Amino acid sequence: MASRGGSATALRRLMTEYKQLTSQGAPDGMFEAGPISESDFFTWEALIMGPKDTPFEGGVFVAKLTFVSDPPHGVPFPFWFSIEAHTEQPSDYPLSPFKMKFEPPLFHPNSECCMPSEMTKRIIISPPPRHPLVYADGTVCISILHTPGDDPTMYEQASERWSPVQSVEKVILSVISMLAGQQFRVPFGM
Amino acid sequence: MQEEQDTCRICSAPAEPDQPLFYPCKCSGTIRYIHQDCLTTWLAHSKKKTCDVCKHPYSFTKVYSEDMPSRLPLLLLLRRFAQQAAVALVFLLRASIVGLIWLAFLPWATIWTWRMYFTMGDSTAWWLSNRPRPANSLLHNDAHAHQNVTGSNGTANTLFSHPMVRAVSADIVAGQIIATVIVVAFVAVFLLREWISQNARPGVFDDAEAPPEERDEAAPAPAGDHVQDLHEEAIAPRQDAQRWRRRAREARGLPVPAVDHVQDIRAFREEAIALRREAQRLHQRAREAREMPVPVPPADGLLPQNGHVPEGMDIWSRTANSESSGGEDEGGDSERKAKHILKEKGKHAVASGTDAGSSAIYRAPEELEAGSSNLSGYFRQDSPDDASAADLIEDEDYVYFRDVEPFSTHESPTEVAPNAEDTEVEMPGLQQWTDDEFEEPEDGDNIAVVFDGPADGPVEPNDADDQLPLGNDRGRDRPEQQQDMNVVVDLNDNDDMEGGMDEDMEGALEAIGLRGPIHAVLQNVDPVVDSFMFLIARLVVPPLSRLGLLGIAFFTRLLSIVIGSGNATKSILFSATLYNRTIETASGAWNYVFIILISPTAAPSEPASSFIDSVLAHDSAFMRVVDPLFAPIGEAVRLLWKDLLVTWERLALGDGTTEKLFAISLGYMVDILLVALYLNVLTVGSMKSAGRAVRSAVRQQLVVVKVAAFIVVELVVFPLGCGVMLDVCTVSLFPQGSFRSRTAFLMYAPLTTAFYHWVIGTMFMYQFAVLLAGFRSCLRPGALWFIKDPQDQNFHPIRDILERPTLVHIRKLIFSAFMYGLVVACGVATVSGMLRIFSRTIMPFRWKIREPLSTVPIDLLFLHLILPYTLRYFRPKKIVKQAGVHVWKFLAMQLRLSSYLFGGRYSTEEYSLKKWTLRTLISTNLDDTEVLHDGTFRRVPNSDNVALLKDELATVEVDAEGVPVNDIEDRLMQRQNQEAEKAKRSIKDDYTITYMPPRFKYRVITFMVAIWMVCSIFLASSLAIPIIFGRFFFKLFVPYHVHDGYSFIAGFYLLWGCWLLNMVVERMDKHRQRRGGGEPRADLPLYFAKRSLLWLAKASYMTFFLGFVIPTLIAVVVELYIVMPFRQTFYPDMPPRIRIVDMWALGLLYTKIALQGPRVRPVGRITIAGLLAMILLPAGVLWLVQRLVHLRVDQHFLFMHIYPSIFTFTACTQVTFGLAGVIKSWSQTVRDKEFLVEMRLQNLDPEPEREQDRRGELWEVETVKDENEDD
Repeated sequence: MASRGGSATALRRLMTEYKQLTSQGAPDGMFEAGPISESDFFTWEALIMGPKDTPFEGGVFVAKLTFVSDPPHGVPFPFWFSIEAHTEQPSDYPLSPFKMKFEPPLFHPNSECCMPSEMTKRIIISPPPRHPLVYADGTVCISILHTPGDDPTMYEQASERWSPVQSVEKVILSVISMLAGQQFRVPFGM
Repeated sequence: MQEEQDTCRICSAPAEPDQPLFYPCKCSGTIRYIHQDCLTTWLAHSKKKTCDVCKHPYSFTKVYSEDMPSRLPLLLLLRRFAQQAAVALVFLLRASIVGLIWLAFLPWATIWTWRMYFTMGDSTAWWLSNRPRPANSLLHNDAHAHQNVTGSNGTANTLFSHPMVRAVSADIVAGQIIATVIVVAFVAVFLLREWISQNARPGVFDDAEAPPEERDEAAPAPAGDHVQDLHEEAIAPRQDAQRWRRRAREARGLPVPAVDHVQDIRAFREEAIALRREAQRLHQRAREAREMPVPVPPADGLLPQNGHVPEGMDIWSRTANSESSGGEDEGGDSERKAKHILKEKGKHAVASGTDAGSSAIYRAPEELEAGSSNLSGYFRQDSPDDASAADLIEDEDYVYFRDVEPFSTHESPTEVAPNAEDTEVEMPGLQQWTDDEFEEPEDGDNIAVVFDGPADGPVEPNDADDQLPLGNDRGRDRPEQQQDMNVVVDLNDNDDMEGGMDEDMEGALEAIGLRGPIHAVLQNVDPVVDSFMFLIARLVVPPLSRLGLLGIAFFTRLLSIVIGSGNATKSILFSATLYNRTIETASGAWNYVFIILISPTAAPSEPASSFIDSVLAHDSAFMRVVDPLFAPIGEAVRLLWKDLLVTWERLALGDGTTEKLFAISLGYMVDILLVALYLNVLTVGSMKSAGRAVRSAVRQQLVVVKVAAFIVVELVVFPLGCGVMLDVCTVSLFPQGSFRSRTAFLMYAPLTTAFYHWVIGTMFMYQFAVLLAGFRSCLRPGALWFIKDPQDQNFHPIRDILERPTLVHIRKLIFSAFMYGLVVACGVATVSGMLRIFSRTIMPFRWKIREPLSTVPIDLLFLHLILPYTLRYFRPKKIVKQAGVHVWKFLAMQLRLSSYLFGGRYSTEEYSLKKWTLRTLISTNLDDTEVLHDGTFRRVPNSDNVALLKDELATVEVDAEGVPVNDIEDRLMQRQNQEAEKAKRSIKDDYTITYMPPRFKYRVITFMVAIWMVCSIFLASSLAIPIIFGRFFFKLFVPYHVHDGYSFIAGFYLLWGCWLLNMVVERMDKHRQRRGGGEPRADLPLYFAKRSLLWLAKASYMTFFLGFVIPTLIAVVVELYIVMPFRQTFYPDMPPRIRIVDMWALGLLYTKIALQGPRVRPVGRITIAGLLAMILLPAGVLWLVQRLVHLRVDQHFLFMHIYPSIFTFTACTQVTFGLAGVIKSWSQTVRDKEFLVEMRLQNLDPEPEREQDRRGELWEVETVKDENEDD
């Protein structure tokens, strides 16, 4: 597994970020993050303390961050011939964002109206969700984790998208502020 | 913070000797610096040109190598040019080849496939009919047709008029049409499917095959639980599927490195062939084995019922018979899964399913060798409870089948081949297979996965093809199905591609062969051709149907022969007592009866004829009585029958369009019948699970067909019907209109007629919807609760179609058809009737389409110049709506309906007068002695999408406070509330209380009649008044009658102008009064005259120059410089004449085009003087020269030489300048290519002097700090 390679840039950048996080610590000690094992720097784990004065207060939530680049989308025309669309490629972080997923799934008020069994279908069928939220399987959907190119929801502005200037720390802070509450007004799937 | 060194904002590495850090944008702090490489990577990745934080555009400078000459050498340029030309040539060549392949070869192949099938069908038909075939068959037809058309003069023409070339090109065009139709049809079907699945409630569309009663059939409770679990597990864990797929890929990655596949493939193929032989041997054994025990039904997939033998079959078909293996595969797979579930209940279905699957497939062949009994033991030991296992399998079946069905043809090859390899290689095939089944068919991604196999080893499809013929008959109807679905899914990708951007464009280019390796074209064309072939094979239906047709004809003939012979014997027997003719006619009648009796049952006719004999023999007296009665009937019936037979045969054997259409539709009908039979009849007993498997696929298709049918009905048939109704209602308005002429036109041009009617109907329906929406907006919400609001967001027409039973929907459709018919009949017919009756002056319409108003294309100018502005400024909606609301309110008040229609309470309406006197009519304050408080209160819906009870009243009688008046009403109200709560709606918002006057029904009807009358009068007058005015207007100027269209337009503008004038006067009056301080103002008429004269002067000045002079001059210039020379060249005899009116019209159009089109440079600088100079200067110069030099020139010289040469000269100069620019930029690109070393990022140097003011203090502080640090 460790042989997954990964570009040198990504590795260096991740190491720097990790170093910074460990040396300075997160603001207010709101979270901790780092690679799960030293051998694989492309899978991180973050422990997030539930923000105060929210339903999550007192909880510690585990999220997994995976630094894997997206498969190229768009299958070419002669439908019979596939490209190897789903092979995992070494991360091109920080060009592409990482993925973040709460494990076990976190029940954010935004996501509670969809129970997991219905989930797969609802994602496909319902009008696209609006803004930061947590899917019922735990995947975090927040605009700064979307590249400017793909706009799954058509609602987000390009300015709040992923850019290499962002970092793990900033994204997690955004997620925390999301948990802390501004986004409750947009119920999922409505 | 301070001691930290600067790092790149992307890779967070510090500056290095060869990688300095730049600060190219306005960002500061930790994100100020960046490596050039990182930045270029990011820019390429994100396709941006600016900083994503501060939006500052990055700037680069070009750095050329030092040995670059200041002027590029000519040789270099030429070399580059040659290179580029060569590249372009190659590309052109390639493009033409690709074009040839896709646009010529593909259609050509298509048309020949098409013909092949038709010819096949025809030949079979002729063979069956046992008749000599006419000489001009389909194949020769075209050649003959094209040979006639030869008109050749010139060498090129002879080439193109060669019959061969003509035939081929005609073929290609026809093929293109067919191919286009196929593609369009399937794209349409696919989009429809997608739309349905998007709109359907979860489970309605994709879970169509999970009806609850089937689940109940799985009687034992534990089994039911398993099903439940399995079902959920099958849907939910996408990630698991993902994980397994990943693992599968890794597994595949292990044994065979991706690059050198060729060797493996070869070995692979050999092994596969060996395996096939082996499989055939096994097949033999299996067959032997099968023949030993009790006869086994053909459904191989039903393992549990039939014990061990089908297991053998199953394995065999899995390996050898890829085509028909669908059913067996499912059977086998479900069996595996069921087995597994029994074995380890707690474990995860997906994961272990794959394990069990691989082991089962692995062990099976070996054990088959050992003997089938062994195998059965193996199987039995794993499934302790046969019955529950069976149930499990059955229920599992559909879950699996639904998802994998479309791919099974393709999976089989992937699965067949890996069998030959070692374990690692086989694993991926299976795992991939199993995780595919958890993906929805809509999901485009899984195609990629499914086709991984063929991409890795291109041999496998061949194998699959080879094995095709081995498929047994049962599989025959399935490949078609699968092919169908396949293509649908394929188009999915196509669609995705279109949705995307550049990358997808590139992919498309690669796919059609303009990029990438050239042989890929062939690789890509091949499957397309194949699929087209299959699709046309879907049209095997026509030949098949012909077969069927002829089969039936054949059968009837046999029948008639048999019966005929019976007749003969009879006539011999009874010739003594009965006269011939009677018998013949009678038996003709009997024939008729018997054909009816016999043909459905297809019973042998022997007993029938004996029955005839007995009847005829015993009841001769009866016959004698009946005979005269029967004689004419029998004769008629016999003639009819003969006619029918002849028609039938003509239809069966004929070659025209009608016959083909008939054959095709009959074929589809037969298909539908078979499908229906299959769905409803053959689902008993052992056929059950196989039937269910197919059903799930077919049912989904049927849903699509159903939706499509309803959509067609609503979008095509409805408007068409409306249009026809409208036509019928208004036919009397037109002078030449009569039903006969309409019918004649229909016969002459049926499609055009249908299209006209459809367009008119659509427009009418749209207008009606708008009108209804207008009504709705006038009323309180919920007043029209019984009509669905199409603008409602919760209204999903598609869900309606999907969820309601078809019959209900059809009933609804019929109801709305009736409603529309009523509306048309009442609304339009009355209007036209009114026009006829009340306004004899305007009837009949003057409808002369072929009589233009003048030679100047006024219609065109009107359409282009005036109509757009009219549409922009003529907004009658507001006024009409205001007037409409007034009318409504007035009517409602008179009928005491205000409370119901507009909500609220109106005390003046809640009583009726006891006695009508003058005072009661005037006064509103009446006391109780004079009035009678009557009427009731009801709770009524207050929202258009209220949840209603089916087949019950929607309103409840209550008192003024909302309490139900009696128990029945109370219960009804309770039920309504429950329903509302069930639909999660608030009762308070959904219902309101309104006053209902007595005889509410009649009042509503009166109200509607009144409204309708008002509308009719309004419509009729809005049509008639402008026409009358227009006619009057035209009578002043034109001696003859003009088309009423012109009259209408003229009248309309007259009226509108009057209206505007009125508005203007009013506004002026207000203006005048407002401006007036204390001093006396001019009288209104005086003021008005002054103002309007001023305005008129301005307007006429503008109109004259902008609307007349400039357009005319422009047109004259164009005429002189461009048009005239050409005209004089081609028609030298034509006198050079310029008509000013024409010029004006043309000039207007030119101006319009120039203003609409891309900005042409000179447009902005046109002056009257310039134009005049362009016209007059050359002529003047020529005139002067002639005066001075006495030049003798032709009178056409000016037009033929001077203007055109000026034009040519100018054009040449412009083109030269343009070319020079092009060459310059091209040489710049050459320079860049040859000598550019790098693009160096430019730092954004602070410019304190200029920036300070703008950036403010912050910037100042920072620069100061920077300076300090520098110090």
